Amino acid sequence: MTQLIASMSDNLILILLTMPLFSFFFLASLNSLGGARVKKIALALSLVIFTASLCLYGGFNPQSPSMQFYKSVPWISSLNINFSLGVDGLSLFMVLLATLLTPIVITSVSDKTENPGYYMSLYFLLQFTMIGTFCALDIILFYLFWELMLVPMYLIIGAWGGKNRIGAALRFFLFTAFGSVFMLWGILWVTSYFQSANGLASFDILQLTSSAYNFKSQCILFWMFSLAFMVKVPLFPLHTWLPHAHVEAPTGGSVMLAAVLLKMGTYGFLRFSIPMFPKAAAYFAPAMMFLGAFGVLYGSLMSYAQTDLKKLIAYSSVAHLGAIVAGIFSLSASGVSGSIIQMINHGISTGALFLLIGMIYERRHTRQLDDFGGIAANMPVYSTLFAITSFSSIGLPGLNGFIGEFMILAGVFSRSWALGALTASGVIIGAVYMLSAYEKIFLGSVTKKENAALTDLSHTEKLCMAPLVALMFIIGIYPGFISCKIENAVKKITAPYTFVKQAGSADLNFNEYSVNAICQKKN
Amino acid sequence: MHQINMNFINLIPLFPLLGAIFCFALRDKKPSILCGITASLMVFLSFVSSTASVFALSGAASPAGTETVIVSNNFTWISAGDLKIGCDLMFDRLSAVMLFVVTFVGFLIHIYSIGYMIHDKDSNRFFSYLNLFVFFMIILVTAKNLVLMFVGWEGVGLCSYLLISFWWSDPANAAAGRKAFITNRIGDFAFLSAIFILYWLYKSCGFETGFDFIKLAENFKALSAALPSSGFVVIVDLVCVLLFIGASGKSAQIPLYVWLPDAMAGPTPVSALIHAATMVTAGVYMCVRLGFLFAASALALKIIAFTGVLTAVFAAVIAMAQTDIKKVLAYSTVSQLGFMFIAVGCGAFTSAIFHLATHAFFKSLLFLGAGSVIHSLAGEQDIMKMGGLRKLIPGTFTTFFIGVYAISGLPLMSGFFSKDEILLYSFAGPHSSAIFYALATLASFLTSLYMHRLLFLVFYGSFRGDAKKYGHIHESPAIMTVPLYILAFFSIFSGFIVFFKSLNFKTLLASYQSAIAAANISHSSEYSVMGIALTAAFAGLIAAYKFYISSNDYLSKINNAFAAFIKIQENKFYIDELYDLIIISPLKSVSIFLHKIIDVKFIDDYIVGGTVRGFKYINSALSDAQSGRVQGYLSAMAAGLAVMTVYVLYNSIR
Repeated sequence: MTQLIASMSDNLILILLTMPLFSFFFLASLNSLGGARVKKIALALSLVIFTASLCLYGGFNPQSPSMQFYKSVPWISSLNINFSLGVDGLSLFMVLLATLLTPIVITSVSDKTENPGYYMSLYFLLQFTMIGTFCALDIILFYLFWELMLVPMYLIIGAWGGKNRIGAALRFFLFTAFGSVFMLWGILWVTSYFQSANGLASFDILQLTSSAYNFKSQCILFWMFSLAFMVKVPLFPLHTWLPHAHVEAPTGGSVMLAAVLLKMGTYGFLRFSIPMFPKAAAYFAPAMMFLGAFGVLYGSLMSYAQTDLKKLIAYSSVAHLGAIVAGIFSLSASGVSGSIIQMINHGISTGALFLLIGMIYERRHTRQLDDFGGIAANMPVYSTLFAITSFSSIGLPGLNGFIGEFMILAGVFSRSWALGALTASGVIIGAVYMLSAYEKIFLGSVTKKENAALTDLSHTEKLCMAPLVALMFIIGIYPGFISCKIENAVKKITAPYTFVKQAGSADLNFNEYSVNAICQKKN
Repeated sequence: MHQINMNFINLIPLFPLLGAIFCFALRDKKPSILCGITASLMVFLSFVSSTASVFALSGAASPAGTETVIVSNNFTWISAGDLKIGCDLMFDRLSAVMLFVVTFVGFLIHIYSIGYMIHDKDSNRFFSYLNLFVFFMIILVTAKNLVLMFVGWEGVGLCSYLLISFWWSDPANAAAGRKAFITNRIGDFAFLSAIFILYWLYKSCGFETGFDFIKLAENFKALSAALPSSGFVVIVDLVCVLLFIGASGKSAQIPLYVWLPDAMAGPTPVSALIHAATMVTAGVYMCVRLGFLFAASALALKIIAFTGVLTAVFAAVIAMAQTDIKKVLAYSTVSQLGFMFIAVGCGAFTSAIFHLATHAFFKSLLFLGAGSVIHSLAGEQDIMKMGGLRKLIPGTFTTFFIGVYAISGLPLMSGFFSKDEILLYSFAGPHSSAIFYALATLASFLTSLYMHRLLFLVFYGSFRGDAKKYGHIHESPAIMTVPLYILAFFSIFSGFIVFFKSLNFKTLLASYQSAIAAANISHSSEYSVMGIALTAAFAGLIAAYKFYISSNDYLSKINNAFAAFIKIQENKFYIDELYDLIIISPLKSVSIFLHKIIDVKFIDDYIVGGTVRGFKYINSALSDAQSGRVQGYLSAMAAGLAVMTVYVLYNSIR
């Protein structure tokens, strides 16, 4: 028995990866069973997977700086390509996000959905590819999962989406594929570079990371990888696929898209762009920080211009992810850990917002702000949950959003006051668009008779929201349970970049991007 | 700084938090007196625990010449690299004064609310929010570091939002709540920026202080020594100005005061507690808490005093023309907060806190009195429809009368002492200026004038409202009038610093004020300032009497002479309209414009659409090339041949 447990914990990561794949095939074969029954089975499966991922969290040793639960199986041995997986603090929480949101999305699926078996099975395929992307330690394997992820998402939007779903799905596919082409090119380049320098072929991400490349190639490779990630994030000006995809996607698709898929971009920066090409990252960090910080302002203004609630939240994602990118490229401990925490927070609060939008859409079949008004009277629970989620999204202290936002700002301000202030502009405009939207939907008196007949949330719907709202409070009050586990990963990423302590008058050049020695000695 | 560890002080915020959770759980249940009593009890318990902390503080032995602080280091809240922020509380004499105001006045207002809100269907929710507010306010004043203070700062803003739009089915109330929150967020943006710049400043000079108040203050001298003075001053100036922008959002100073008059949309006890006695003074508290910083920035002090004096006069002028009883009091609050900032700006931090405390008593008394008037008139707020109420609601009248006298600075009332100190410091303090003094005196004349106008219009003369209502006018129940009596007592006597004496109030903050030279004020200037202040106060009283009681002649003459000005005054100088014109509407239209131009047109249509069209064009060109028509192939061949021939010829000729 103890042996069984030992071998299970030894292979935990493989179990975690294969369970979703198995569930995908299993559920797809159950399509004819009818919505309610498939849903029960799917929920049970997703909860088992979530429990397994909790074991991953429990077993993760915060003291160890290396990859944990490491598993490597030879795959294409002639090319030295391995099926190798492992987690550090960063990927641990990305996996948890994916496994947490799947049961919630499954719970939110309506019984009347067409082809429920196929529909729900796709979320497991999606989960499989996401876990794979976040855990892959072989660059070819990573690329495979990264590309494979497009398939379930394309199908979810394209087959179960709204009126213009085909166009939106295509746009999503093409934008991402455009970025991926450059990444593939970059992967081939970097591996051949490695081979010529070290005499042996390797696709191992850790080996590739520990090797040094000259500054010029770093710069080119940095952009080849980063372009793919920028599309996925999405960073201004490559963001226009996101609102379309969100508007057309079914609720579950929107939730997964916002909560997990976008994080693949920021994850990519942290796993590839920065550790592999540290000098180029330092060199381009001001530009990236600017794009991120500008994205905050731009995304917030775009949100304010929207009349469709889903589009509004989609653009707010552009703003939030912009702040995350700015935090990442502050290359400081607080900025990077803030960004990782904010990646989790955004998953929770924006995921919750899309769920809430789905709930009201199912009742009213509209998402136009002007079609509502005064519905807090009929839906007190719904309006309370929406309010809490909105406040979490705009970073009210005490809730999760503040923690990430604060740490990001501390990081960005330590590099540049101007960019810090630009990033912090979201503090004001975020409140403007969220509170205006909230007021339009919930407050005032009921003016439309359709709204007078609205019913409050069912038990299932409350159940959907409960874990997310609970997490908003837990992370807001005690984020320690996250930061203790990501500490080593952050240290590794930011180790080359120290905060420069300058003496005397040099301190007063506060607006200068005071990067470290690494940039000054760029080969 | 002598620190003693005592986790006991955690109880102070804990009680109201529990109360808030309890009442929130019952929010959908039938409203009952249970919530009101629980909520009041919780605030009372935190009053008791803060009093106990006062005894612990004064009983603690501390080395001579050092300030004693009770601290409670609870747990690390935020941690990343070397950035560590604790969820830690502290309790010193400054927190003690603030806590006394918050918990004691808060308790009385809770009791009063039981009577005021008993008929409201959402009273459980009301008490939940009110307790939550007290919780956040306590966090604000007991936080040991800037970040935790910011938590309280935003938290009270949240509760203010929730309570202003408490009756949200009226769109105007909902809009007022949003306006308050957003205006405050503008201030918070500056506050946050200041926090980060301050952090960076210490860190880049090698001081690992984090955000801890005690460490920040202790290392400040060393910090100023570590930097060249010119640059140091620039940064400290910047930080202090940003902090003050934050403070002016919360404490409703020009130009961010606009939300406070609208905030009167909330229930009256809320106006008394949040928008008069406690939350709006948070900005003053913050400046005093960070007094060691402000003392080093002459520029910021000047800006603060100037803003304060401008606000004090401007708001008083607007208050003169308002006809809504709560709006008059709201503008009066803005004006009094201006006085507190004059004190801060003149370097008299102690006087600022002194006026903060006395103001908390008489202003909450006035608001609750107004609430009692509104209550007895079944919701009427227009003072032009009141009059002659002094015989009908004598209890309310007596206490309101005391409140008016206190705020006007008439002799021996609390407001007299605290305002006199401010005037004195603006006249002869370390950062005094003749202009500040003159304008502050003008503002105190105007205060007396508009407050007596209010008093006379509401309680004197004859009833001008609906005759049918007259018979129904009744005094409020004891649960509402008893708090009024208690507050009236403190409005009279808190000026004698009965309470603060025991805390050695005068030397309070001495450590913070070290950078400001001790004021050397002669007795003669003390007496002349006092004399002029009294003259101003009495002049206001007499003018109001002439205008509103003895005859209407003066008033109508003035009204005729300044008709245009009075119209502007009634419309609050069109500041709201101005903001709408220059900020709010442009923000929306710029957003929509950018969305249409950049997102839809440029990126989506030109770049993405252009790429698609480009591919389509290449596609059609390529498919044309494979059309299968022989003529096409032949002509292409001929063209190719021709080009090749020309190329060959060209090469051979060359």
